[in-house]
Amino acid sequence: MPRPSASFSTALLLFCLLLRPLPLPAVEELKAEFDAVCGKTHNALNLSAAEINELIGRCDALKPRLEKLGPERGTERKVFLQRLKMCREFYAFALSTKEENCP
Amino acid sequence: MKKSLFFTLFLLLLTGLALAQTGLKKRRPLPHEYGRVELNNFSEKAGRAPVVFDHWLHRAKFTCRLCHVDIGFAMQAGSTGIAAADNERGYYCGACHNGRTSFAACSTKDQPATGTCDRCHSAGKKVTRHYDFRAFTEKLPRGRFGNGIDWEQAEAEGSITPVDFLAGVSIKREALTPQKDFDLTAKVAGMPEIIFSHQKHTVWNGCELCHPEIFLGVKKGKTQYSMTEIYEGKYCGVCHSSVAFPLIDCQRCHIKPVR
Repeated sequence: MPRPSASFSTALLLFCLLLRPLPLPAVEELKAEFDAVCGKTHNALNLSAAEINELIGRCDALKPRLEKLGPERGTERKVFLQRLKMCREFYAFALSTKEENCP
Repeated sequence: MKKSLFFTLFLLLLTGLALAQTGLKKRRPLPHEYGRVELNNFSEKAGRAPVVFDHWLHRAKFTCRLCHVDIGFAMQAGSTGIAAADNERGYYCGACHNGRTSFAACSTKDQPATGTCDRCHSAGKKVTRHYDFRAFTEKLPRGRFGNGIDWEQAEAEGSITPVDFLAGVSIKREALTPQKDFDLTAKVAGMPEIIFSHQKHTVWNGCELCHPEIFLGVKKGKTQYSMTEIYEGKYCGVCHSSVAFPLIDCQRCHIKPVR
């Protein structure tokens, strides 16, 4: 039986690495970022437009990372995407409110 | 022959009337039934009875915000799609029903019969409720409609202290910045104006439960809506037709005398 080439073995290893469940610290990291980003909704109306824009940007950056969570992390994906949606929409709402009041 | 024909027609008429009644008139829920939600995304498929969720018990202990923002329950019954696996991982019902904070949520079909499954999966079953509505609400201030409880008064006087933070789920936030109350002009002439209390609503709801999904604009007059739409379950009707005091309690909102 011919031995697989080194490049094939590397590709297979990479494929397996991609398929494996996201390790726990990675999920915890996402949760920490979620907490940091969405922990300011209570005072969003007191933030500057630039600060709110930055938070919206971080929400948009977090979304695809949550979407990438595999089926074994389906619950976390569902819960945090829903919570992120509410938080992002509220920041957008706060921003439009600020712009309306101080055009 | 004539008699039996007459009797059959009479019976058909009665049946028709009975059906017409149920079709036309919606029975007003009893105080303990008000805010009750039945959830059956996966229950029957998994061989369990649908879940009967009573808002009155949960709202006496937790704020609306905690469950609908921090835990992530959608505002429309059944749209969250809660699965047993979600509860098992400590999300949704499992955030509290974990055997530590409260009795454990029933997770798998083969779970030993601990008796806890029936406490929620109880639709169509004769289950003795752990919390008796009458006994539980006995000392709470009375309301005219809905659960027959003035929940707002109960919270204000400290008869209930709804929890707004759940360790491991909620985010540690700064205290909420109070927003100003405002009045809304009623569309019908002679109808008292509405005083909308942001203060009272934020105690229960926080910000993002209402904005922007239910109320798009914060500027007075930006979100235009009518009582018809509210009765259809939109805007104020999202909560005030199902869980919070119902719309027939007019004077709770229309309180400012017409100038």
